[in-house]
Formats: sequence, C-alpha cells, structure tokens
Amino acid sequence: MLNSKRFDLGQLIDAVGDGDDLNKMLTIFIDSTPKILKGLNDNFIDNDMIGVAENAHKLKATIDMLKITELQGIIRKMDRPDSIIENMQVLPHLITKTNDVMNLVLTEIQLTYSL
Amino acid sequence: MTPFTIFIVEDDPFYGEMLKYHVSLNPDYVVEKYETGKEFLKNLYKNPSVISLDYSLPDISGLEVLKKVHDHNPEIPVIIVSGQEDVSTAVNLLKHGAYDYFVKDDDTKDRIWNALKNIKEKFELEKQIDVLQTEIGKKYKFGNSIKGNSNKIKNVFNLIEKAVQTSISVSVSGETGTGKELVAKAIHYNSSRSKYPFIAINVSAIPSELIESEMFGYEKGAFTGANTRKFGKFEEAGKGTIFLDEIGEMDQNMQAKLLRVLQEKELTRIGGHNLIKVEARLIVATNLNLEEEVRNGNFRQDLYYRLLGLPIFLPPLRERGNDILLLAKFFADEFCKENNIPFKTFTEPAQEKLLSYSFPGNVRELKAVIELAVVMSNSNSIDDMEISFSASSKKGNFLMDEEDTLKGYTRKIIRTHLEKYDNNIVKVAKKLDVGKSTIYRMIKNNEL
Repeated sequence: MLNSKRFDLGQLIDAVGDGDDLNKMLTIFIDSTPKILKGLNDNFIDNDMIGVAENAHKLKATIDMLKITELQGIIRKMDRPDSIIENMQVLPHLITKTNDVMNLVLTEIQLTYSL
Repeated sequence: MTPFTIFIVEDDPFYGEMLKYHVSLNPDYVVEKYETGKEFLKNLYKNPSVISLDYSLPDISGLEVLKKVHDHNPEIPVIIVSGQEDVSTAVNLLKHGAYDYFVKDDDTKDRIWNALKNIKEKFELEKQIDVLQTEIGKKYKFGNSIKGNSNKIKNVFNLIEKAVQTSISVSVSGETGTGKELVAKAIHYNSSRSKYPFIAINVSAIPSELIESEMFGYEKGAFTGANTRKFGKFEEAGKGTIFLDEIGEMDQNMQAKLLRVLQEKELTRIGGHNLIKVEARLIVATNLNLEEEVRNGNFRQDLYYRLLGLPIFLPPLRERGNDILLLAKFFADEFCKENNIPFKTFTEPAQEKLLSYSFPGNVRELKAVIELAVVMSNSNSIDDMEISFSASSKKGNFLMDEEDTLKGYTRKIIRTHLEKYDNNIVKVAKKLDVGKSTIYRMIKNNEL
C-alpha cells in the first residue's frame, strides 16, 4: 500500500480491496480527474462560476475519499456558487492550488501503480 | 423473479464508481450508475427498486429529482447522499419523503449497504404479502367461495356485487352456518379495499368489559395492566374492512360508543385524547332478528339504522334446493383432494336423503356430514347408509318450530318443496301426492 502525505487510499482499499479492482478504480480516477480539472479551468477562464462550482463539486467526494487533506477546505470554498462569491478574491489561488495538488497526486499514483 | 435494481446517481465519476463497485459486491443487486439528473430521469421508466441520489447534481437539484421520482412512483425509496452536513437540508428532504439521508464520509458506503439490505428485506416481505393477498383474493372470488345456482343464492350474489362497487355498510343476516363471514370476506376481497386488512371480531366471544379496548385500543397507563399502547381493531383495519359478527350480542353501553364512532368517523383510544380517523368499511352480521331486538329494547334503534346499510339475507340451506347437492359434491371433492382419496359420487338414495333433510346447522353442518360420509364410504360412491345426521339435529323439525294452523303448515310444506325443487310444480305435486291444480290455485290466490 502506498504511504503518502498527500493522500490516503485506506477507504478505497477498504471498499474494493488491494488487488486488481484497486488498479481498476485508480485507472478511473486517473482518467476522470484531468477532465474535471480541465472543466474547472475552462469555466474559470470563461467566467462561468456555476460551471466552476459544478466541477469543484465533482471533485469533492473524491478528495474526501482519498483524504487529500490539503484540498478538503479549499474545495468547499468553491463547490457552490454562493461560496465562490464569498471567495472571489482568492479564487485564482484556490484553482491553482487544486490543479497543483491533484496533479501531484495523479503523478504519484501513476508512478507507484504503473498506470 | 423481479431483480432488485439500484440506481446510483452521482456526479463525481470516481466516487460513483466506488459506490457502484461496493454495492455490486452483493450478487443479488443489479446496479446502474448515472452522472447527471437528466440522464437518470430518462431511465426512471425502468422503475428501480432503490435510488441512491447525490443531493447536488450539476443540472438539477436533489429536491427536484426527489419530487420527480415521487411523481413517477412514490413507492421507490430514495436514499440521499450529500456532501453537505446541513441538518435543515436533511430534514427538508426527509419531509419530502426521502428514505434516508447520508453525509459523504468514511462510513457512507457501509450505511448505504445496510440501508439497501433493509429495503431489500422489506421489498421481499411486500412481495410475499402481494402473493398471499392474491391467493386469498382468488380463494374469495364469488365462484370459488360461495357455491350455488338457486335463485335465492343468485340474489345474494347480485347484492354482493352491489356491495363491492361502493363502500356502503353491509348487514348480513341468516341462520348459523349459512356463511355470513364468507360473504363479508367475498365483499372485502373483491372490493377496492382488498389490499388493506380484513379484521373480524366476534362480539359474543369477547367479554363486554374488554370489547372497547379490543375495538378502539388504549394508551399506556390507561388502566392497570396497560403497560404499552395498543392499537384497536378499527385502527388495525385502516382503509380495509372491519367485520363485526354477532352484533346483536353487543351490550347497550358499547352500542352507544360504537354509534358515536360511526357518526363522527373518528375514535379516541381509551385513556387517550387524540382523535383517530376511522376509514374502515363496516360489515356486520347477526343470526338474530335485529328489528325484533330493537322492538324489544335490546338494540338501539339509531345504531340499527346506521348499521343496516345494504342488508343481505342468507337463506337457510334447506331453502336452496339443489344447491345442497352442488355443495355436497364440492365439499366431498375438496376433502378427497386434501386427503389424497379418489373422488366419490353420490348414489340416488344418498342424494334423496340429503335433499330431504332440513340442515338446521346449514352449510357448516352439510360440510361435516359430507366429510364423515367420505370417510365412512368404502367404494367410489357415497350411499345413503353412509350419510348420518347428528342426533340433536334429527330431533328438530323446522316446520314445527312455531305453532301454526293446519293450513299454515300445508303452505309451509308446499313452499319448502317448491324451493327445494326449483319451483317445479309437477315434481312437487308428485312428491307430495297432491294435484298440480291445488298448487297452481294456491299460487294464484297468493297463499304461498
């Protein structure tokens, strides 16, 4: 099992075991996450805050399940249109941080599991 | 067998996949996953057994989806899964009929697993109840439960059909053993109330001091020994049917209480204050002449009129002519089938013997007589020697029950024979050894 400070696969392993099914689930994670991040970035560029909230919401359960603690608070600042309005000033920073951490997590998992 | 289908509606593809994987570990479940509300609603026509619904979907709110599901089929349980630890949202969704509300955390998948297990158990119990209700319904279809071709029983069938179409109260009267409860069940199981309970109370079998609590229930602490709240039979019946047998035996005090409940259409449990709506249909039965009981001051007139509704009089078996033979064959076949005995027929003398007996115990007595005859018979047919009537029954002669004049007895004898032989005047004249013209004359003069 991978021991990382950025995330914890405990809950996922608890659900699917640590065999082939774990690889299958991680592949889904690796495939789906970049698309959501792209949606988040594109919507931000287009000034579509509802789209930003929708994509942030899509990531929230994943972030919680993988215990990506660095992003648990951040994602909650932009997963609803009203939270985005409250955090408008720091939104660029929140999005950058989300991209950075998620990309690191993706890389780490890809390397460790050769996916 | 209908599969137990679970729809998972979750916009986070990874989390949704994890849930799908976990739930699919149970091989009895068929799981389908949708990422948008629109996609899910397009597939709602498939009528899933359960829906696990993410509260915040990108295209439609959880509450809206819940309302649409309820509009489509309010029986489908919806489990809301949400990232929002917001009590008011949860309460609001539960108020709108959500089955449960889980916040997404480490235990969500296990909570969903348990909820699905409980829903599946309930789903299977409900299916069993449906099967049993259908079976009971079949048993009490008119043709299956009440047998007969005589005009008198056909008249009863007509009245039952009228009773089935409405919720009118029904009062069934007739001698003991004529099948009053069977009629009540036939009305219930052929009516729109058939999916609700049929609750029967034999008024004469419950001590008068207990009948109120039995019928209306009581609250905890209402009296010594009332350790828990108890629902009464009226509440148990819900929107079904409550059958009060031997209503004529109800004491005056209870009659007043029942009248109030029927007038107000609501009751209060003993020791309670809350008014409970009464929605059950009422069918009553008696072997007494209630009108006479009213005249004698034993039964309240106001209650009598409230209960009367559609009166159905069940004729005694002796007045149902060839129905005796039809029922005898039915009971014999049924008994043979139950006991793996080859079917038996009735010899001519056996049929004559059955037709010439008065059956004071009516259909109930006939059933007992036939079952005994089947047991006593050593061949494929039942002979008159194998049919025996109980000593106490033989003593009574219904013609002599009430004192009458010779002319009166003659009328009774001819009337009974006409009923027995389906108004076949030639046959009756031959049986009684009188001229046909005598009978024709009596009919013409309205003497019969």
